[in-house]
Amino acid sequence: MKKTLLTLFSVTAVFACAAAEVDIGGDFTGSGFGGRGFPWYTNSVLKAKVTRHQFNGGIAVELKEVSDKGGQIYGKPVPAAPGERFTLSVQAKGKGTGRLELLLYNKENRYAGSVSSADFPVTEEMVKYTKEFVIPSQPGAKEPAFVRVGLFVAPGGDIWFHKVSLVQDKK
Amino acid sequence: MMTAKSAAVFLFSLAVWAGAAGADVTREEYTSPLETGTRPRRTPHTLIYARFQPYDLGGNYRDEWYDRPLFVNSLWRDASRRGESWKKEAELLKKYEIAGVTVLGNAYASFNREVIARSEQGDFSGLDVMAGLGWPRSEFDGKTPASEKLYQRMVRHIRETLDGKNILHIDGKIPFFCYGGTTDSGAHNLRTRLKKDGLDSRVQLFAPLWLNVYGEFNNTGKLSQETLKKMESVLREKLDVYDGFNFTNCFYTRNLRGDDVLGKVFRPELDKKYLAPLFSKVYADPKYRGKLLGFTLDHGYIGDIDNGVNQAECGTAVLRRQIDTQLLYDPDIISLAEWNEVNENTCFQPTLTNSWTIRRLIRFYARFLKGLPPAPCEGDDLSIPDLVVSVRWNIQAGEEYRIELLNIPDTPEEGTYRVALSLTDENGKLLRKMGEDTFRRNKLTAVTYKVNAEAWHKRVRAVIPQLEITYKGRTFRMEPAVFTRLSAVTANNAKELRLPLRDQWTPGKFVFSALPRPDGSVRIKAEAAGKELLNSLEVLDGKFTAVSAWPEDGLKQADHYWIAVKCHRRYETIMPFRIRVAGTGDYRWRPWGRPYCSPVRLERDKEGWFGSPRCHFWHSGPAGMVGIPKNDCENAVIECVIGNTPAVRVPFADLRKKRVTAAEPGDCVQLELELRDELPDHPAPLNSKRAAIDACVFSKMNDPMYSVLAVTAEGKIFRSRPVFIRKIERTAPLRIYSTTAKKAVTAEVPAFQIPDIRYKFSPEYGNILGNDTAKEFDATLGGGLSRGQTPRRGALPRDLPQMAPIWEKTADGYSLKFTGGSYLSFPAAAVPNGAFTLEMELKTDSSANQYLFFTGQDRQGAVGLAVVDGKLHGSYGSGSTGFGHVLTALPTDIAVTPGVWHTVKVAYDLEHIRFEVDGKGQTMPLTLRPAWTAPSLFGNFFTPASGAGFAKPGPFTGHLRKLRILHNAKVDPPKIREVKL
Repeated sequence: MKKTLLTLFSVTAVFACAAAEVDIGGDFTGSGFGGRGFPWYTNSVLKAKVTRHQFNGGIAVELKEVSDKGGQIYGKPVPAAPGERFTLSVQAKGKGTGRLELLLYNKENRYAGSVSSADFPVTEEMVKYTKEFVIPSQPGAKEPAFVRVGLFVAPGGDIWFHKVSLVQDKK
Repeated sequence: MMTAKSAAVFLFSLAVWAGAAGADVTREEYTSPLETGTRPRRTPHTLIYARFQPYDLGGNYRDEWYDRPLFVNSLWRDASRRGESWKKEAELLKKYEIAGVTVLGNAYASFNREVIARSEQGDFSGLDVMAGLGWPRSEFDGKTPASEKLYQRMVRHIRETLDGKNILHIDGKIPFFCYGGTTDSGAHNLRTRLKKDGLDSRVQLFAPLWLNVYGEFNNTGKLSQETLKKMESVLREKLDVYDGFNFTNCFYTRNLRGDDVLGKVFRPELDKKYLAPLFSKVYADPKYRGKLLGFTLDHGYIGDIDNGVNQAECGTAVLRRQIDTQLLYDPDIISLAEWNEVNENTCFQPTLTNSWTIRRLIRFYARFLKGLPPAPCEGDDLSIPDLVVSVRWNIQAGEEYRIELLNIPDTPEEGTYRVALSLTDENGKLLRKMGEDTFRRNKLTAVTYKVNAEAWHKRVRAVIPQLEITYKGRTFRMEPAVFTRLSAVTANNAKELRLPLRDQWTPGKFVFSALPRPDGSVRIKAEAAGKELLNSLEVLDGKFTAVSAWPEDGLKQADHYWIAVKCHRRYETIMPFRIRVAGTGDYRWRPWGRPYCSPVRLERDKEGWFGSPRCHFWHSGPAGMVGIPKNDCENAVIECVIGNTPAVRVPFADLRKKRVTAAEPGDCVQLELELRDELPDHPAPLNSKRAAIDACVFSKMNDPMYSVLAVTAEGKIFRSRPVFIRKIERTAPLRIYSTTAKKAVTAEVPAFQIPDIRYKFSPEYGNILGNDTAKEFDATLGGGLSRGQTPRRGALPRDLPQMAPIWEKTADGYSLKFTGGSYLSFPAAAVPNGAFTLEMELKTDSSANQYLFFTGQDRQGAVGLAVVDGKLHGSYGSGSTGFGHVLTALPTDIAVTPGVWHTVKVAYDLEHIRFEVDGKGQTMPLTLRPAWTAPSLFGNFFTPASGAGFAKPGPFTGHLRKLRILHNAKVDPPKIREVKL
């Protein structure tokens, strides 16, 4: 029994050192916008019509861009530090061009820029897109202390996002 | 905090325990504290009353049972013998040592009068009647005819009760203990009017009460002063209107991922620290002097109405923990719900599955409340302990095996005894050996073991407990007459088998064999004999009676073929029913009795009809059996006329070949006839010290399991080990939900326990849609209107022109044509409580949104399939922690084209669900756990719960020519292209 327990603890410890899924509400369940029930927020400038759909046994969020500047929703703040690695993945389908982003915030929770993936074309085929980010060092007022996941749709786009996942590499 | 030392000790204990019994075993011990409160009571001690429902011991055979009273006697169905049933009830009630009985008098007015009258006669001496009230939801203001009618009915009930000579009075008034509730303003209006009629000063009215405090207590472990003040004002406001409460001090929750899905949860710490003191404080206020407090007590609710667990029994824990917390309030009244609710299986009277367990427990508490010491029951064998063994009758792969050993004190003296429990399979091979438990004879103590049973399913069919008992200096072995069947895909019976060792009968001679014959039947031989008189000897097939011994009362199986006759109508109604058999002489009719089978005259009229011009169709109409003489059956034709529909004529020669048929003569009426090997009725008392059975029977079950059940005239029970006809030749992987792992896993189970049902599209059996796997899966064209079945409860349109779809001959067979709401009705067993594959060939006639397949009542695990906006649309019952049901919508992009034959397939392996039309598919992740079976429909609908993802579609219009239900599934996870950015 002792041996089994030790093995169990060892496996858990190795796993914990490698990577950890961050709870960002990426299954889009819950109700409302913002807060514990549904920790996603709409952007008042990069506007999009947001609709939630029952999809594949879960929820997909449809972002239909309406501002001609592109549309975006973003998630709740997650503690981060320069040099840390995050892997963001999402399933997407629809039409137009999408982009994955990590929005950076300083320790006062003020916007401090972003890191983004390349733009990617989206078709009716559901595809899983993955991007690995390294939090940049921006000494001074813009030193990142938090990140938020951003899902972006270029002007004219209409994209369904499904199963957003953020994994933090703790090495 | 656990220190290093204590952690080490803990781990050591765990290791020792695991070594003794296996790491997959848990043990729990609970001793009832028997603490009482300080609330000022108005009665000398807490009075216990058993609520009577309008059933008796003679009637109510329904051709199926989860349980039935221990002392049923179908000979008492004859109205002239009803007195004998009452006499027996009185004899049984007295054995509980409770105060008396109560009735929901205004709901069952004539029954209430009969109970009051009986209570004044000799048999009921020593028992009194507590008035009861099923509160109607009314304002009692006389502003509407309905309100006035309810008031007048209430007044009539009160007056009749006031006239009773044997009615419970408290402080010179008559308490009307309640069930359900009305509005406070309605109660106020009632009181005002009763005052005017000079009745109010003589009655005490109760309100049902539940306090909304469990959320706060569950989250914080305490109640705030603010909440307590609020609750105090609730109590005071209600006591200003009512004379007392029927208080419910628990909440219901669904354990969506565990065993015993829905159950009551008690919080004794909440009762002890907060609520009981609050009640004491309010009741001590001189303003509320004389106010009363009562509770309703039940022991679970496992019934066919909702096809499973309405409220888990958990051995006897629900009953014990409930009454233990109620005692903390020092109540005036405890009302047992119910003494004889035969349909809902909540009986407190002795039954086949509970034996005398409930009696022993209630008697113990009743004596405790009266200040009497624990004592053995009259006639007890004092050489064995008063130990009760409780197990589930049936568990399915993934559920834990649970066994409870309960000591019921029979003495106030100190003293101990030891019990070592072992578990064996049906052949006696050891599965687990537990450690030895020590019980104190004067303590109400339960020891409960739970075992992960998943690996057993591969080769074990039933689990049998074995006890080694050291009692009063003697060590001996006992095999309690209970067992737990292990089923692979579905356990449609969550009822407990409870048996006090002292109420077990051991026959002096016992013989039993069940051997398969080449024609598919099974030759059953059983014999039991002993010193005691026997009441009944039956052989069960699963939970159904396969064959029973009958006394020589004229219903001779040797002389007659017996045919079960059932008829139903879509709507509740009163209409005529007549039945006769032409072309033969000495035929019989035997009705199944009240209250849910309308009484049909027992005498033939001049034209040979049995019947009645006024039969009550509460969806199910008259039912019973027809006997056709074996020596004069060649030209017999069964004729049945229901309402104004044309006569249905079924030649017996035809039925003899098919064994089963159904017809819809019109007007939403369904008639079903089935030739039986046994007499489909409760057995009549044998009054013999020996009984024997020698019969050949055909099983309806996919996995027949025969066991002998014998009951003595004193109500002692013998239940044999089960015998299985099908042998395990190979196993197969089955996707199951594991309640220990809390997720889907794969288990090896006997291959034949995974049904693959392929329905036969042939009009051969009339309105029966047969299959080759087992008759238990047969569907009906239309119908399905008896209790618990989906269409009865659902929202089928009232103007439904025809329930049954129509057979159409095609080039390569038959198809069924569905028009205007016709449907197929499937029994609960047809859809598994687990992984499934549903496959059908269909053609829709229109592009309208329409239902295809639906499991009824939106249960957790209900399967839904529809065409919405031209696409296949699924749904799945996701369950909720409350009473409500929720569906998860599963829309697809797969088109269903009108006028084109499609092969539609749905497969769910508990991790992914896949929808396919003509091979084009869509796979979705889905991990919802099925936990409840229910009957299903193809083609029509019922009221769906929220979450289906569409407005109510119409019925299916089109054709169906193939339908297959496999109780397993394999779904490959969807492959998704990945792009690294």
